Amino acid sequence: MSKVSDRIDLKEIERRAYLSYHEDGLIDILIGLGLLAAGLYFYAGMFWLVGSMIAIYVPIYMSIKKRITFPRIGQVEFSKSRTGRAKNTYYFLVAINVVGVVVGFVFWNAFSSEIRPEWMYVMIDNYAIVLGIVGAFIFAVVAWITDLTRFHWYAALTLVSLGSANFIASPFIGHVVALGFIITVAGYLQLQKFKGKYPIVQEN
Amino acid sequence: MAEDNREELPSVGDIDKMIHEPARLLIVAHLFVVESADFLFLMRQTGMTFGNLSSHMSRLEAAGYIDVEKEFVGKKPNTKLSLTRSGREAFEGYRQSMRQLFADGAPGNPEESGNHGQRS
Repeated sequence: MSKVSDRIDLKEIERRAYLSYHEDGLIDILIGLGLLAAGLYFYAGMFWLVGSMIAIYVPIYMSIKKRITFPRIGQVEFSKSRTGRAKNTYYFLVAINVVGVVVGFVFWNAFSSEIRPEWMYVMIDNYAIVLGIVGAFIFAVVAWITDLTRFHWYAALTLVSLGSANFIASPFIGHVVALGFIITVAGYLQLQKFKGKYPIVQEN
Repeated sequence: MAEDNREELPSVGDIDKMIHEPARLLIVAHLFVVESADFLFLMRQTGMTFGNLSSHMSRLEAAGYIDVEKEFVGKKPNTKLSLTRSGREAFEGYRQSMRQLFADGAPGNPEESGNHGQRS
């Protein structure tokens, strides 16, 4: 019995098909560029632009995917369970945004009050570590939901890169930009590898 | 338990030969785990050549196991493949048959059954 199931592992076939679809590194490049842009926006004081980036990123991602990925690897419609996991990622990111807004509101209220709580000072003093943990948590959860293991590395990188701003006398924005740069380069290298592995096929 | 069910076990001759052929088995297995995929995607995943995949695709289509939909994506032709209901059922049946065929509980690989070089 095991002779048959060992060779045709349906779960593994589905997982490999899914992973090959995300081997192009495009999502990494967009995340990296997003962090670079976020750093520059914060530097220029245009905080509102960070939120609006998400709106333009999805159409850009799909457009590039059509031009680069589909002609090389083809198109596939995954099963409902896999699509459900992609939706879970989306819901998780939306939930993170909502929680972020609520926490920001609570924080702002506490900051505006005359008697500021003690925990607030701890958070302010260690904001780089806090943001590093939050960023690492987001990457780790996305890696866990999507099976994209390289995102675990990004989680560790985020924790080290952002958290180190607490101990090194350099501006926090510089750490965000450095993190964005590293992820963009990693994505670009992944894309080049993908292009080499899957050259464009003319006949169909 | 295997002894009790021996009369219900399928014979080797009952195995669906349309699916049993390795290349077609690979195609059907890939289509089984997705809703649909295009020709290129299957070519990449199975490692088959254009001609090889094309000929097996035609046979599976003729057997009514896959649905082949030709469409245009932008200005380029695209061949979209999916398993039909009978194709899905046939694959399930094939998996069931194969499980039953090997479910005799007899030791196969000496290494698996712990008889490391102890043959008499």
